[in-house]
This record gives sequence, structure tokens and C-alpha cells, in this order.
Amino acid sequence: MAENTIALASFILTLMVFSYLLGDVPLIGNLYRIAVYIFVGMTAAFTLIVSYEGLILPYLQDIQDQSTSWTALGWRADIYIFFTALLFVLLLLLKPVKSLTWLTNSVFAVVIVVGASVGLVGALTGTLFPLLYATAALPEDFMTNFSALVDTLLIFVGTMTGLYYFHYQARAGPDGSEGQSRVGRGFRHIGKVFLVTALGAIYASTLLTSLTILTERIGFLFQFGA
Amino acid sequence: MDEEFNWLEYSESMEATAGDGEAPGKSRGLRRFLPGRPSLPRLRRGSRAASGPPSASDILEGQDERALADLDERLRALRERSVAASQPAAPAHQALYDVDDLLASPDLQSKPGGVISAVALSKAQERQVEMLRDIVGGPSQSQGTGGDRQLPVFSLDAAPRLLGTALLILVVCLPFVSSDYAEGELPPSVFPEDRHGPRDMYNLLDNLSRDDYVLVGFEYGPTAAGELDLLADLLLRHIFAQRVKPLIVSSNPIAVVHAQNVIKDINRSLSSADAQLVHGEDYFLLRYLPGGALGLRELSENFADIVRISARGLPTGLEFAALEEMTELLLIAESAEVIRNWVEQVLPEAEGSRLLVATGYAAQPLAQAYAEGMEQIVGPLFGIRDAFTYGEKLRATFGAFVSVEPPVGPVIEPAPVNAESDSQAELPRATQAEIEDAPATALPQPTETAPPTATPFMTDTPPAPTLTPLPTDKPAPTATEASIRIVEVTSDQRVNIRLGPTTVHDILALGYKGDMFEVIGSNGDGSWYQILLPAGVEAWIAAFLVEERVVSASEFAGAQDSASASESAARAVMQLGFTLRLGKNRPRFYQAQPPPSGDRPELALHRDRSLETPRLQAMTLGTLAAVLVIVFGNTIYALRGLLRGPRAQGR
Repeated sequence: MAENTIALASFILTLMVFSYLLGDVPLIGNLYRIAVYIFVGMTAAFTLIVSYEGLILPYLQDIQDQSTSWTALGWRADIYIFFTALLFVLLLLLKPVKSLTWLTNSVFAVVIVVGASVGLVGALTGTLFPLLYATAALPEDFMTNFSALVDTLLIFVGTMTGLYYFHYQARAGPDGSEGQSRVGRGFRHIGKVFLVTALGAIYASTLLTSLTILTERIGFLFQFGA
Repeated sequence: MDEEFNWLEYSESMEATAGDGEAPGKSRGLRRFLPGRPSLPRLRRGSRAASGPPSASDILEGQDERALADLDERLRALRERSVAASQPAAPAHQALYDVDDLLASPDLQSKPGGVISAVALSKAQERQVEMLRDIVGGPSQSQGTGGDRQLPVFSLDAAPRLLGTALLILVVCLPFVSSDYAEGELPPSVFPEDRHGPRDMYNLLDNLSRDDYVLVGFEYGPTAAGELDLLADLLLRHIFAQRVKPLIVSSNPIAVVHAQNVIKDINRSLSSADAQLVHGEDYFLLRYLPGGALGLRELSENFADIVRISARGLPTGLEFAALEEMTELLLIAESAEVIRNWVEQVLPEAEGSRLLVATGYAAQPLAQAYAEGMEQIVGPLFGIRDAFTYGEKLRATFGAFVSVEPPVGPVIEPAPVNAESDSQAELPRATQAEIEDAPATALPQPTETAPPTATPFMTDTPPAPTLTPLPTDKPAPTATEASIRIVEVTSDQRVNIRLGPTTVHDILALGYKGDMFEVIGSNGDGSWYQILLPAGVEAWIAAFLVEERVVSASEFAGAQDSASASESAARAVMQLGFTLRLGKNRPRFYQAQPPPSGDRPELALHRDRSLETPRLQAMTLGTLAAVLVIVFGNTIYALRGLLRGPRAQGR
């Protein structure tokens, strides 16, 4: 019974979402909106539940017991972390007060700066350097395998010119004009080709994702109707 | 040299050199930004008129206050260009989009009101967004002011879009209503030979043992369920079938809930009540990781703390010191950003483990680049096409599981190449036919009558490299005892043992420091050794990872015995006929044996093939239709441009 109810609700909600194809017209357009509101509301509710059950509640329980610790740093550290978090929460709640917005911003600043620094280090050590090493490493049959040779050259040229495309430094010419050298412009053009090809591939992949999800939903509708 | 460099004087002298024509006595350089000066930025004249050195933000604020005349020629030219770029562009339909416009560097504009809300779109960015909206057919902001704007559904301008949408929907629906429109081939039943990533992924998961733990990053929610549910379902079933306990974690709270639903679906499909998967015993759903990349960073650095608490806030009873105790990491993610976060934040702390990646089509380009560029990343599997193939492999393996006599003695012949179906031989069709005939709700159960060599899964044809005879100038240890030339793994990291002497060959087994293997040859330049695995299967290992030695037969046998003894319950991997060693710091060998009766839990794929096949065909037709619509639309667009061109010139 419960499964049938869930299936029926899914069927109706799917139809409501597909009503978007008919446009944002009165009545029909509202069906799409209602479905989206339900989804957003459910998402927010589940996020709250998961955060409360898995994060906040265990933490609150834990800091009451000196014999246990949320972190490996010990109970005392838990207390410090708790009050720091509490302070940040209170500062965030001051957001509506115009004159105290700078306090809220300072919390955002901490979060953004820490996030950016973690992301930067990760991007360098986790992505850029490893992929640079991989690009620089020649395959074992580099000289004998034509396809490996072409592949390696493509990767090398694509990487180099793609990065060069984002090189905006210009130099002043004798007439005061600014611009890049012919070689630089050539690199930029080649890099543009690689970038556009990559963007096209990503766009095509995204299109395929959309089609996959579309076929899944249409398949569900046919299955329900069968 | 001891004199300290004075930035204030330097900046003044630079401006004086530039000759900006300022009135005498007026502050120059950085000094103008110091407190108390007439040119103090407006914001600092207020509540924050404290003394102290100027900050970067002060200087930036000061730049806003400078008169245009104060700017030098280059800055003025730059400003004029930016002003010109901010002017309204020509209507999007009148000109082809220039790539430079789409790739132009961001020109963020700050507005008061907070760090987050301060980031607003500049005019240039708004134009780019407008172009993208126009390209993808989204609602245009320039046509209205807010979200209450009514879409021009029935207007003439919207007709092509509606027509394209109707055509796409019609084409996608056709395969569901009639098999006459079944266009395109179904995905293969086995992964092609040149797709080593998915094959390695399958093999690594299939070679796990019940003492292993796999950390599963479940990073997709209901919005990607249509694309990734099948893949996640199969991967989790495969892990459960190995009696491995997955530790499921996510930086997306909704994904935590969705993971519960996927496992519920698996439980629902299991016929026996005894086979139900139980949280805390068969799997662990760990607490959600807030903060995106920060949460993942916490996972990698405070792994011991995170595994203690489940998603429901209850203690899990798990005790792990570090992330590297995980045998493998499996990531099922919907977005490229999440994959990048896992690679950047989690993987560096998981030495010795691999990251097996399953994702959707949209994130596939990035995942593919990672897998090809980094040895530690395996895969990717992507989309329902790979899910289909993965399911066929599982079905072939589990469905044809037969009871055969355990191989005796150290030499086990690898399965015949023709019987292997990875090379698109006969098996895919046979399997396909078998599947079509099979009931849709369960895997075919093992039968005694099936031939033992029906579906050996991973037996690629090893290449036939030129074998170089081993040097014979090294003396044997003793004159009376037979000596064996071996290689001993010297790398501190887990090393790959492969089917052939290149890194593109499939991974057959894994080796750890101190492992010994008998050498039977090497490739031409000596960069790879051909070795004999204890079960008698030939494989290859890179020479720089090992040290070649000559040992007595008894010493080698002793080493092999001690290693074998550490695995109390020998277990069949499949009918692979090779020996595998897995699990960091838990050495054990898996001897090729038939699976003990009932050892493998029910896998029960329960896939409704009557729906899956039209789905794949609908996707193929939909892709064709989308390409046609794009090509047709652009052709019309180009023709209109050509026809209007002469008229415009005439005017």
C-alpha cells in the first residue's frame, strides 16, 4: 500500500514537473512551482534533520560527558570548539541588523578564507601538479607508437596553449598601443580551439545527462501507466 | 644595506617621476592613504579613523576616490575600454557569439552589503549570462523584470523552441510504445578491451574480501537518481556480495538520505529475510560532512572521529586510526566539483588505497582526465550505459558460478582466451540471450551442469612480448639445492601486478613490500619482469618496484607458505585461477578455489529489462534528435543571416 502511494505521488509529481514544458502560464505553471516548492521544502527539512541528528545532537550530548570526546583532541577542546561555533552562530544571526552586518561578514570572511586556502592547496597538490606530471610523462612506447606520439603532442599543446589563453599580460608597442606578440596571439588562438572543444564536450555530456534523466522519467511514466 | 626600504618615499618619487601635474604640497603615493590626510578615503573618515598602516582594502578604497586626472595614461585607457565594454551589446540574434565573450575573465563588481552578497554580476557578466540563456533556451531577463514574467508560450518566437521540444519528447517516447523504433545498439555485455578503467574497477571490487572495508562516497541526491541509481545499486550489491562492509559517507545531506533509500531498495529485492542488510553490521552510514571541501578535508584528517558517529547520531563502534586503513575508496558522484574535492582533499591522505570513480555523463570528462593522469584513480564508470555493462558482468559472473573441483598443485592453467568474453567474443551474445530468457526478477542460480569454464571473467590475452632469457651468471645459493630467481617487492606502496608489460594493461593482483614472486622472463629492455603468481598465472611487474634475487627453493616455499597461512579461509575470487593479495597490512593470498557453497550472499539484480532496453534506445534516439534540432536550427539561423546580409548592406 505504502509503495503504491509513493509510486502514485511520484507519478503526479513527475507530471507536475513536466508541466513546465507548457510554460509559466496560470494554473499549469503553478503545478510546476508547487512541485519545486515541495522538493525544496523537503530538501531543507531533510538537511535540517540530518544535520541535527548526525551533527548537532551527538555533539551536544558529547560535551556533557567529560569521559568522552567528539574529537581526538579531548573534551576540553570540544568545549572550545563548541563555544566558538556558538559565537559564530550568534554573529550570523545578527545579519538583519544593518549596523552590525560587519560582524556577520567577519564570520563569512573566516569561512571563505579558510575554504579558499584549503581549496587552493588542494588544487595545487591534488590536481595541478599530478596532472602536470602525468602530462609530462611520456608513454613507454612513445617513439614507436604513432598514436601515442600524437596523443602526447595533443595533450602537451592543449595544456600549454590552454593555459596561455588566460595569460593577459600585454606589452606596449612603439606607438603606445598595447597587445601581445604575434606568437602570443597565435598561442591564444590555438588555446581557444582547445578550450572551445573542451567546453563543447562538456556541453554535450551535460546534454546526455539531461536526456538520461528524461528517459528515466518518461520510462517511469510508461511503467506506471502499463 | 641596513637602511630599511621606505615604500612611502618610493611611491612618492614614482608619482613625481610620472609628472602627474598635481598641485604642490598635495600628498603623493601611498602617503595619501594614511590617516589624517586630506585624501583619506571616505569610509576611513568615519568610524575607523584609527591610526595604523594602510591595509590592502584601504588602498583599494582609495583607488575609488582618485580623480580621473590622477590616473596615468594606461589606467585611463583601461578604464575607457571597460566603460566601452559595459555598453549594451548588439542584440544576441544579430551576431554570432564570439568565443572571447564567453571565455572572458570575470569582472566582479562589489556592492555594499556583506561578503556573500557583495559579489554581483558585472554588466559584462550579465551579457554573458544572457547569451548563455539565449543559447540554451532559458528565460531571458532582458524581456522581463522578475520571476512573475509570463513565458511567451504561444508566441511566434517561441514556436521553434516548442517544436524542438515536442520533437524531442516524441522521439524519446517512441521506443517505450513500440519496439519498431528500437534504434541503436545496446551497450556491450563486457567492457571493451581499451577501457581498462572500468575493468580494473570491477576486478578490484571483485577481489575484496570480507575483512576489507570500503569507504563509499555517496555524493548524489535525487536529482541525479535517474542517471546514477542503477550504477550505485550495482556497485553496492557487488560490494555486499563480497561480504565487505561499506562505510558510506557524504558531503551532501540529501545524499545521506538517498543512500538509505538505495539500500532499502536492495533489501526489498532480497527474497530472504535472513539476507537483509543491517546497518551497523553489513554497512555503516556515517555522519554527514558539512562544508563541502572543508568537510572532506575533515574526513581525511579526522577520519577516526568521523567514523565513530553514524548518520543517526549513534555510535558505530568502528575504530579506525586513519583513512589509509580503508582497502579502497569508491566515489559515486554527480558533479565534477565533488570529484575534484575528493581527489584534492581526501585522496592525498589515503596512501595505498585507490579511488574508484563512478559518475554521470556531465562529470565524465574530468573523471576521465583524472583516471588517465593519476595512477591512484581507477575508472571511471559513467552513466546508465556503463551500469548496463557492469550489470551484465555481474550477471555473467554470479549467474554462471559453478561448483568445480579446486585446482590442485601450484600450476593452474589460466582460462582459455576464447572462453573469456571481455574481448567481445561469443559470450556477450550468449549472455544476452540467456538474460532475455531469464526471469526478470532474479539471477540464474548456479547449476551443477554448467561448464566450469563458462564465464571466467578476466582473462585478457596477455601480449606476447619478446622474452629475454634471464641472465645465468649469478651463482645459485648452493650446489645441491635448486635455486629460484625471484623478485622481491621493495616499494613501500602497494604495487600493481598486471597482465602485460605496460601500465595500460589490466591490474591482475596487488603486491606489498616483501612479497616474492618467481621470475620467468622480462621484456626487451628489462623494465618489466614476467612473474609467476603462486596460483601459476603469469603476470608482469615493473622492474623499478622490485629487486631481483636468487633464493633457494626451500626459502621461497617457506615465504609462500607463511603468506598462505595468514589467510585462514581461502576463498575463490571467481574462476580466475590466479592468486591475489589484498588488504593493507593484512597479507593474505586467495587461492583459486570454487566458492564454498552458500558463501556468496544473494545478489539478485532484480533489473526490469523490459524497461531498461527502451530507456537506452530512447536515449540514443533523443541524442540524434537533439543533434538534428541543433544542426537544423543553426542552418536556418545561418541562412537567415545570409539573406539579411545584402539587405542590411543595401540600407
